[in-house]
Amino acid sequence: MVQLILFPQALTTCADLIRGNAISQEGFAQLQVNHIAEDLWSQTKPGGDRKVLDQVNVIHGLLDLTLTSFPASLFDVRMAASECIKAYIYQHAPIRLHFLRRAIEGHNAGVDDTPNVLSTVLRNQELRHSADPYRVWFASVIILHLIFDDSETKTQLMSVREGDDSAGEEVVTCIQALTGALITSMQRGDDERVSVGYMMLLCAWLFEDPDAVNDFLGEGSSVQSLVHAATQGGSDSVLAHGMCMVLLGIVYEFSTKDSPIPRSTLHAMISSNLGREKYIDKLTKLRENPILRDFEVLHQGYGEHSGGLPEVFFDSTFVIFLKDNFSRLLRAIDRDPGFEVPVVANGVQKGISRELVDSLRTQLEEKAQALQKAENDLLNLDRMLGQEQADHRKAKETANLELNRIRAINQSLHQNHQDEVTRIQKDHRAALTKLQLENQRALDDLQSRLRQVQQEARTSTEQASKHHASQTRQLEGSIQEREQQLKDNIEDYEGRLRAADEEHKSKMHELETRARLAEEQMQDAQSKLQEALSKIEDSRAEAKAAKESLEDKEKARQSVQTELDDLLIVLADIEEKRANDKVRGLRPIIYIAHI
Amino acid sequence: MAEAMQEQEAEDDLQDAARLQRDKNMWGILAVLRLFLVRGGSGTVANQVSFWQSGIVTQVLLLAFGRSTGLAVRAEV
Repeated sequence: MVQLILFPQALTTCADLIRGNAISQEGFAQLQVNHIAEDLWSQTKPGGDRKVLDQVNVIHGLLDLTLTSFPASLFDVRMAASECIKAYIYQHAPIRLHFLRRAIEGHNAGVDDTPNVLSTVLRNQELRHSADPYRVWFASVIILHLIFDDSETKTQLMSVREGDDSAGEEVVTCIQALTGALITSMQRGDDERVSVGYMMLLCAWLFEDPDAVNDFLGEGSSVQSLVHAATQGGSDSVLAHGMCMVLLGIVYEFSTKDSPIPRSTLHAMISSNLGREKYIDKLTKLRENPILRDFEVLHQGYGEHSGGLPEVFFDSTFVIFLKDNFSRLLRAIDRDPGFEVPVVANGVQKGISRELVDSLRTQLEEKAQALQKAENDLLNLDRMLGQEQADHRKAKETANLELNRIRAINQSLHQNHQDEVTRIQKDHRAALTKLQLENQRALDDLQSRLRQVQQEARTSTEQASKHHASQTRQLEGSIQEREQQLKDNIEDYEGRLRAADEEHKSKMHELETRARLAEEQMQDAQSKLQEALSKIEDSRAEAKAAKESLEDKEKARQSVQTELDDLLIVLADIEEKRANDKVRGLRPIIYIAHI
Repeated sequence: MAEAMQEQEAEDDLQDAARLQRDKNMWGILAVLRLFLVRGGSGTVANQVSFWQSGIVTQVLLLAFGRSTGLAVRAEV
């Protein structure tokens, strides 16, 4: 049988040409090719004829080749096509992301004509392709390459959901859907290659990815089913059983206390239902199997001698991965459940220390309680505040009412007061005017009376003064008369006195002389003396008589003087009276002659 | 190689033996090509760039998806 060698060789060469070279990879995807898969497919059917080939995008064409269930003889073509696809996405994150996105969109849209890796692995229930295990196998491998060491595509794929919620189906994650498909295929007794394909993908996905592991554990029955599948079945399923152990080991290794099935529970499950010995045994058997052990040297393709399916179970990337981490997986079962491994992916630590998580948890708990309490307090305070505000509002309203009322009262009072004041002012002004008039009248009255009185007084004063004046004149006249008289008398008397005096004196002289004479004659004439004495006595008597007449004149003078004094007193009285009258508004003019 | 491709396209009714020989020759050319593109080889990246710029990738792809290859299948089946 002539081997179809050119097609695979050409495809493989293409793969070599573009692998890891960004420009080539990007350019490659733009190329169009004959849609040969369709043609080949129809040719493999009896009676199939050549079709007119249309052009498709190369990636579409390659996918079609890979995923079409050709007879085993065309396996190498499929293999080479898958290599091409792998080369296309090799170490090119944007292309991978783009490819995956397209696959997700296509899968979610449910369109069936374009080959879709996602749909292939997730909807393996259709029996149409169940005879060809490599459909699922190739699809799994391609997805494996899409997500291997690529956190972005992993995240993308992890967010895919299966199951129509509106149709009442259970919605599960992509990982859970894959696991479900895996379990189904194992239970159904599908070819080992299918389950190996699924498990390669799951193992590569879950390794060093606690989030993926937790996602896997989200479906509670998965672990149990895996254990069950691994313990049932014959010894001819070494590879599948071994892969179950690998998957279980990875799941346990990267589980935590917070996983949906906690690490300790997981450990218990695996220990009790499987047992450490079985785990290690199956793992070892897998490792020692020539297909895996000698993978690097075995031709991954359709062997000449085989009549059945090719002896291709593993992908090279996966094999490298498994062999690198194998010893770790062996030891996984012996790791204590309380001990969790820190995982560093892309330089970011994915897991965290258990103590840290637990202490943070307790802190969080405390904080949550404190918060709760604070919220309760806040509620209480709010309530109280509301109360207070309501009371305050009420009080304010009453106060306002009160205030308005008082304002109104005040206003009216003020108004009344104003009116009152105006009225009073008016009255006052009227009264004032009236009083003023009265006063004026009274004043005028008084003034006229005063004038009258003054007039009367003046007249009476005048009269009085006239009277006084006349009296005074009279008196003055009489006084003058008397004075004159007196003066005359006085003069008279003075004259007389003088005369008398002189007479006296002369008499005296005479006497003296006489005396002398007398003296002289005394002797001689004591007789004369006696005569003289008798003469003296006569003169004494004369003198006495003169004195007496003088005294009488003196008395007369004194009586006149007293009369004059009396008159003076009267005059003084009149003067006083005049003065008093003067004080009373009268101005009499009186001259009093001084005596 | 491009010339060989064109030949392939043109001569549909070439005899099987000749065709087979030609296919083997093509296979050889491709094998040689692959020698320049060994994974991890020191010149591989540069060679890839050169090959891409020369348009060989397109040629190989066309070869891969060419009708005559399909003919080989039919002949086999």
